[in-house]
Amino acid sequence: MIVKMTRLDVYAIRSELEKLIRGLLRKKCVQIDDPELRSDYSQLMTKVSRLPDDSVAFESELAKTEAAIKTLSPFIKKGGLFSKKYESDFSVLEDESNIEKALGIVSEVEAAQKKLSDLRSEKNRVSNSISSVSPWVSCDVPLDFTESETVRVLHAILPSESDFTAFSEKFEQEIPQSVIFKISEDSYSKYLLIVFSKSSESAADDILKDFSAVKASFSGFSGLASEVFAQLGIDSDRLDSELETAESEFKALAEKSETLKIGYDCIKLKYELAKARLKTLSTDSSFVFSGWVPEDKQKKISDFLDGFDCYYEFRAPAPDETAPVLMKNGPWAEPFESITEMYGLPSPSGVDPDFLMAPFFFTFFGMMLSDAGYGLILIVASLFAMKKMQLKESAKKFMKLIFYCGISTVIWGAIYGGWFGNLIPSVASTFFGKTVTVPALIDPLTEPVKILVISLIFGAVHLFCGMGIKFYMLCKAGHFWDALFDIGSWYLILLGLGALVLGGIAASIGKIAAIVGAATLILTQGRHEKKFFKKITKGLLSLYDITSYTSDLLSYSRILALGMATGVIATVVNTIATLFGSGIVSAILFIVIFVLGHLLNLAINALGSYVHSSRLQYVEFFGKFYEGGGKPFSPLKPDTKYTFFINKEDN
Amino acid sequence: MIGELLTNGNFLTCLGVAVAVVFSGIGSARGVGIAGEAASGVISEDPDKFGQLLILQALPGTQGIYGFLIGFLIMLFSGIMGGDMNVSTQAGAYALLCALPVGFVGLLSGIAQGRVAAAGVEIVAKRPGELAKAIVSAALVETYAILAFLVSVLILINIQF
Repeated sequence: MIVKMTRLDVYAIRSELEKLIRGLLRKKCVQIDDPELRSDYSQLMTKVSRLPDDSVAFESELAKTEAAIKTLSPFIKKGGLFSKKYESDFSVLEDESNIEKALGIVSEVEAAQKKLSDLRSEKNRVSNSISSVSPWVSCDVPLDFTESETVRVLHAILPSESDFTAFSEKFEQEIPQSVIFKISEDSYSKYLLIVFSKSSESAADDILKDFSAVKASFSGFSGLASEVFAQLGIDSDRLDSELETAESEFKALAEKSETLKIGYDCIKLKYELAKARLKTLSTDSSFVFSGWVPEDKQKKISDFLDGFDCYYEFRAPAPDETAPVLMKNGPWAEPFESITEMYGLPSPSGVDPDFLMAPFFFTFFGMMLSDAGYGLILIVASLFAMKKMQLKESAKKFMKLIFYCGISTVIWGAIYGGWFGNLIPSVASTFFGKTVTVPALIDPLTEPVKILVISLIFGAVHLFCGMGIKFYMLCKAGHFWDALFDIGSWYLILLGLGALVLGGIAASIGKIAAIVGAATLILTQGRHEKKFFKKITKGLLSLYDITSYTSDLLSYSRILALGMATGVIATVVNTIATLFGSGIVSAILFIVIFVLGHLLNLAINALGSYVHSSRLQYVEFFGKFYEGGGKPFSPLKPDTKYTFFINKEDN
Repeated sequence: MIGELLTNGNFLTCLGVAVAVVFSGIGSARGVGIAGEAASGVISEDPDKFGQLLILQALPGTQGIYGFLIGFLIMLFSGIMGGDMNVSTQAGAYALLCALPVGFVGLLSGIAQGRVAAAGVEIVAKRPGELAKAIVSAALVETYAILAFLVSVLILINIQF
């Protein structure tokens, strides 16, 4: 069922803005619309104004806090799949001190991070220096000794590709009073100390260039290379230990990450409120906003608004105001809402198909997965998740869906006689040498046609239900004759053709019904055309739609195929698992293959059953009547990310 | 020699097993591969989407399973598994025939489904909330593999080995 929405207009005093919006958020059932959507927006804007956007500040706080949480996350101890988030409620989320504490930690994290990156770049610098100084350690000329009055002392690096002998010969030839000492060499370069007269500096430079040698510079260093090297080593060790302390600081900060997370959600709440305030239009002393309230929550909201100095009005939506869509169903159909939501919400004037869809999805899923053992696993897993995990509303809905699907799977598994495939007979014969048969109502491998017929009958009922909804929608909209001509005639044809199969008196009635239906189609389907010729051709062509009904119907044969696939794969797993005969080792092999094989089969086929049950709804069923395009109802309410919000009470 | 083989029931049966498994397997391998390449591109940007994309990538894998199932069932029914295999020429020919639908439809639908799944990866990359629509689009292709599988099973069950 689609919940009826009423339009809410509120005119109130500006000074109460903050209090009123905060109160509405606590009620969790009012959606405030963007004022741009109002038809009188531009007209209103000459008299009122929008509030300044103060959400940006919160946004940057959120980003900062999130960055801090991300930085700390490698140091936070993981609690496993079932670890629980902190449970928050309004008293926690509205506590300003939480934000202060969190922002305090954020700046601590930022400081620690800055310190760490400073240390890292320092460490980088030292490492670089070490690698540039280390080749010169054996040189007994100080690094900063580069010249005397007449002599130039040059530290040069000659790449190993250049010929060292040619280099020294050239030096000897061109600058006679020069000396070259080879200090050290590695696989890339030779490290040379060259001494020559200052007067031949430019000649030396040319030679260096010719052999692509570079001058090493040691700005900031003084004394012997070996001394510098030793000092750098000490620095590096000191930095290492300082880095370690800095990292352990993160570990200490990670202990406080819970506070950070709570703070994040507190800021998030303020952000949501700021966003909501932006949706109001205000003058100096008053403000106005419009929104949507589910009809059954009107009383709650009017009680709340009565506490304010304001004027408010509930009214039916104007034709140009499209209501958001909220679905509400009983406990049986509610979990199936998630299937419809995935397809896209129905339009506000459409039909919520969940109550009709539920039994079909339930049945189809069970017939496709069709193994009682797998059904039991689904039931246990979903119950466990609902009990042990903190699930949001939508996740809880989904778990309930899995629970229902599990029940259906057990039922159909029992009908097909599949309990982890043929586990019981094959174990009995392999390990105990006994023959056991599991009772089955229908064995898919020996009586596939029976299941095919059952599938197609279910499919036909499903399709007829879809057509029925269309019939109802047309009638509701006042198009009774359209309903009769477009849907009713097809009912006659399809039921009539179906009755032909039965034979006897039913067949003759069916024949007449089908002919009447076809005649109605031919006569009525061209009723919107003006020319007589077009009326007839359109009528005749409409008979061609029988192919689409046939293919829709045949599409349900997948129920048989998928059901068989599960059963056969399960049997294959058991066959392979029991290949090794009896005995201890083979029993262990059996268990390993059994567990892995059946888990894989369950995963593949549960996904397949879910997807194909959904497809039968979306394509075959919804295709007959569904009008989508609804926008979801998104009331103002706390939306937490790192904590689990508990719905304690409704105020 | 070849003529002799072609009238040998055992040979035809084994050929059937091979056709069912090989062609559908190639189709699925290609399909899963195409989808996987697309998924890896998105995962390199956003590793959190791995779980969602894994489902999309797994979808074109079913064809190979259907083919394997048919192959396995042929082996089971014809007695290859039990070791005493003595299939008549006619039954062997039927076994080969029943492998054709699942083999060839599996080959082409697996590849086609892989491409739809790869396009679905794009959907998930841009709109993470729309995974279901991507899955359903890919599943539409699978319909034909399912129908082929069904026909193969129905033929197989009616063969008198």
